[in-house]
Amino acid sequence: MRKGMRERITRVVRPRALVAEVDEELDFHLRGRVDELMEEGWSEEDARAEALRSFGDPERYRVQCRAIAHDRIVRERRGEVMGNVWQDVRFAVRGFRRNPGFALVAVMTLALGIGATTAVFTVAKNVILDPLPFEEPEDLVMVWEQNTAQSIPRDNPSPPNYTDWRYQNRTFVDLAAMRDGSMTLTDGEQPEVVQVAYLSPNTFEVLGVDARRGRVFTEAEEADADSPALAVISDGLWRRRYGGDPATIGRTVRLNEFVLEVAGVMPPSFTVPRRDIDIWVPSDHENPNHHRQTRNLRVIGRLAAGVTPAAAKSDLDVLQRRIAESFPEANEGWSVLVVPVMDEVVGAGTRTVFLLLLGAVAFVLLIVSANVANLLLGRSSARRTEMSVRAALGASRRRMVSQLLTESLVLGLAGALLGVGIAWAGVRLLVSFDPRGLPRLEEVSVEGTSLLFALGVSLLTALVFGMAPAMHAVRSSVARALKGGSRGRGAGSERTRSALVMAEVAVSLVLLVGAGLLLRSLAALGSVEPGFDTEGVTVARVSLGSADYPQNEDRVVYFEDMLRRLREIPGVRAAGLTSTLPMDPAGIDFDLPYLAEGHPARSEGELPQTDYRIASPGYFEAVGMDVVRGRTFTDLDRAETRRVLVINEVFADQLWPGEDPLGKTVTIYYVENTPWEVVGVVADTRHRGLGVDAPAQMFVPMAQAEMLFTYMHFAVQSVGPVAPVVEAMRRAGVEVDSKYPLYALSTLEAKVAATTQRDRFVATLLGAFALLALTLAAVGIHGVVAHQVACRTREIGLRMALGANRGALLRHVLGRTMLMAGAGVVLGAGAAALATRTVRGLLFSVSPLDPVTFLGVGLLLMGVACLAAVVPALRAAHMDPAGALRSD
Amino acid sequence: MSPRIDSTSLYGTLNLLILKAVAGGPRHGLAIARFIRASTDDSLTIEEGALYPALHRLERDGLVEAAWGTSENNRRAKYYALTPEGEARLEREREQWLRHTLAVSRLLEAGLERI
Repeated sequence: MRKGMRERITRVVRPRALVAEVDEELDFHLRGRVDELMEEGWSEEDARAEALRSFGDPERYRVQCRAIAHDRIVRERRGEVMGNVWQDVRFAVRGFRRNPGFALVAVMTLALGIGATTAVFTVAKNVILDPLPFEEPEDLVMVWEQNTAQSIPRDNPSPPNYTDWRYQNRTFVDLAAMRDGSMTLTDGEQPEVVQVAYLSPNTFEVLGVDARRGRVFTEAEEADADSPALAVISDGLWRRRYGGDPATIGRTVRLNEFVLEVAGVMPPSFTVPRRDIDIWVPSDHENPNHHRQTRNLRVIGRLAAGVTPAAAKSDLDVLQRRIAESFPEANEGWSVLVVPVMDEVVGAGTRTVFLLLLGAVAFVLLIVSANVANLLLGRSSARRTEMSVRAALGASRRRMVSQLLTESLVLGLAGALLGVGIAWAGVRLLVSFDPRGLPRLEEVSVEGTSLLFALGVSLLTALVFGMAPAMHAVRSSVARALKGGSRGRGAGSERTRSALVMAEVAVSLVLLVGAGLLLRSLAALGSVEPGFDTEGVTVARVSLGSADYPQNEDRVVYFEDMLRRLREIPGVRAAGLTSTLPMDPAGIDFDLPYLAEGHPARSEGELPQTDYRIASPGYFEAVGMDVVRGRTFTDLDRAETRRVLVINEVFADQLWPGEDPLGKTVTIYYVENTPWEVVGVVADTRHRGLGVDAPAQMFVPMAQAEMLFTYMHFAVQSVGPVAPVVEAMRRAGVEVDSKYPLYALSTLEAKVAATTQRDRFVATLLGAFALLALTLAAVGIHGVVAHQVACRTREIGLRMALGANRGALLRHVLGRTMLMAGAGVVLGAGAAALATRTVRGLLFSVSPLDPVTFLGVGLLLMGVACLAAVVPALRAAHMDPAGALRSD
Repeated sequence: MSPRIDSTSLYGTLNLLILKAVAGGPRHGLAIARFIRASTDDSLTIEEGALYPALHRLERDGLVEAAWGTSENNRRAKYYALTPEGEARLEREREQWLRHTLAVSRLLEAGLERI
């Protein structure tokens, strides 16, 4: 009773009413007191004065009371809202426990959607959004050389050019240079070939990074002749080889013939210039003995405050022109290319991949929302009576909507909770694919922003999928709904559900088309003839120390010895070596200027350039390159014999179309500018990737190479199982020179697979999302059709009682579904035609509008829709008419 | 007239008195003032107006609740009644007050003996 009165007051009180109430209360007191005093015999005038005197200043108390009363009302309202929310939550949870099947399906669906979205967001954020782990990374740029006249879009800068830039520029704080290679690490334990980066001593200062343990080397230190030669090692090497021993810092190690002291250990996030670098050592790239033609450095610069990359480019281009005046043969036509480091690390391809994946998960999330909305709509028509009763009992629309939205939020949050778990596992999975060509996956984890993201996504989806049912609940009139009983059909709700299913089909189609195009592109790549054998070819690297093998002759001896050993391995049919294997980015891969017979010389600086390779006898046979004309190299091609050259078909056609290239000469401009006689033509090989046309190539025999590298690749063709061959190769390496073991043993097949790894990664993920979308759409269609059938039980019973046959009924129910799905397919095809333009860059020999894919996917979706509808349709067709008519 | 006492220093006491006043059943402000006057023999006189901010505060804090009703002379009046929380508070305050006064009087007695 009291409670009721109090509630009424609370509701009635408005600011004006509040003022009036306080006035009335104080007024009552004063008037009552005057009456009392007058009863005691006071005159009215005296009584009034006495009442006021004993009361004090009414105005003061009035103001105080109003403030307190206002305060009270605010608190009460807040408490009421909190109470309502709590009540709604409890109500929602109770409802879900009564109907666990519904709640389970909804929460699982949401968790999948939120989990997938969060996982992709986490990886994408880490890769394309997070700043690089350097100090003020936005000021860092990569500097390349380029030669537009020779159509060389980018090349590495040469050490003397770098040195000139460093000391003469006006736009950089400083520039650093590096080069990478491999060396043999010997320090008591088993010798190991390690990946080494040769850094200009100021590199760490330019990047603004420090070691995780110990310290890095500085330029001042390196200039000091008394300080020991220092090396910084990677976290990986430190753990792998030194077991994470803190005493590793200060330890002395041998790299080839050099003795170095370990100064520090870098964090795993430091991946300059490559991910697999084990040791960073200082190196003098400013040594005047370096050649201007040897373009082998990577140069990173830190821009001065306020300098744009474009301004830095024009500054360095001025220097480049000045250098070209002094050294025209080396620098004519070479300008620079300045690229922000972030763009360099995260190329346009990577960005496309992640935007694509984000788009795909967003689509999945849409379908998830549609499905849950569908579930809720189905439930809300079943709960129509409950809702109408509540409305009739006086629950306001606002309260009812807030209760329905609370239910959605509870579902959304439960989905988010589970989804974060799925995201965590998903991120693990994504990273474990470890796709080459996708950078920065070292330290991805679900945390902070990702958790907020998951929460935001769940709230947003809850709002989206909760809106439709809530609106329907509000719109349905109390009386109509009560009359309709639980069978209330709600034509509006039905329309919404059909529209949702249509949208699901459309969105699934877009995803399926995307995945289908990528798969077809992969298939096309797979059927490309690479021009060499991928099966049965084992490859390995070696990196000799130039102190132990100073001259070309020493190296030839080692290589020939090694090849002999390799050919003795049982099962081996051919063995050879080359400076660069196809599909392997780790080779020494560069172009040299040449002049071919029958082509007049232009000016010195404008000589054409093409791929230059060193190959041993047996190499072409080992990788299975076909000989089109003439011969390949033999052991008779020695340093002192006539210089011979093997070229590929593209090159031959380019130089002498329709003529016999054998016997013609090509002058290669390198150490000595001497003519080489073409003795053979080999078939073209896809060198840089299956989707990239073969470049023009020339091969010189190992024994005649003007400069024989210490870093070479062996290839071995064998029959039978590969594993014993690999083991035998490893042993052979140790036997020939235990100081320089063979390493990076792999197969050519794996190298080829690696080039399509990114595409397969995208196709796999997109395919998984598309499949998820398809499944969800099927579940959605099934749900809607089942619900339609359930709602129309009586109608169907009537039709059957009136003589409709089962076939017609089945066609009727299925027909509606196919109409719905068909509309979705048409809609989706339109959207897909627009959307697939984004994947154009990832496709190989497949059009973004590939009719086969579009048609196939459309048919697939119609088929799935039909299957999803057929069970409820059959149920309708086999209904007992009498029972159906009685049903309520 | 007894000397005026600053009502603020009596805030705690006043609250206690109000709670006690409405413990017997719903009362309006005038009746509460009358009750305080009568039960303290006018020795604890405060400005009667100060009663109202105190009442509103108690209402806000949920110790009393209010409802409009009709007074003995047929006027609309705001009645205050003790809530369960108010009842509990009154009991607690009462005990504390008794313990406090008992302790103070003991101290005063003991002190005298020792002097």
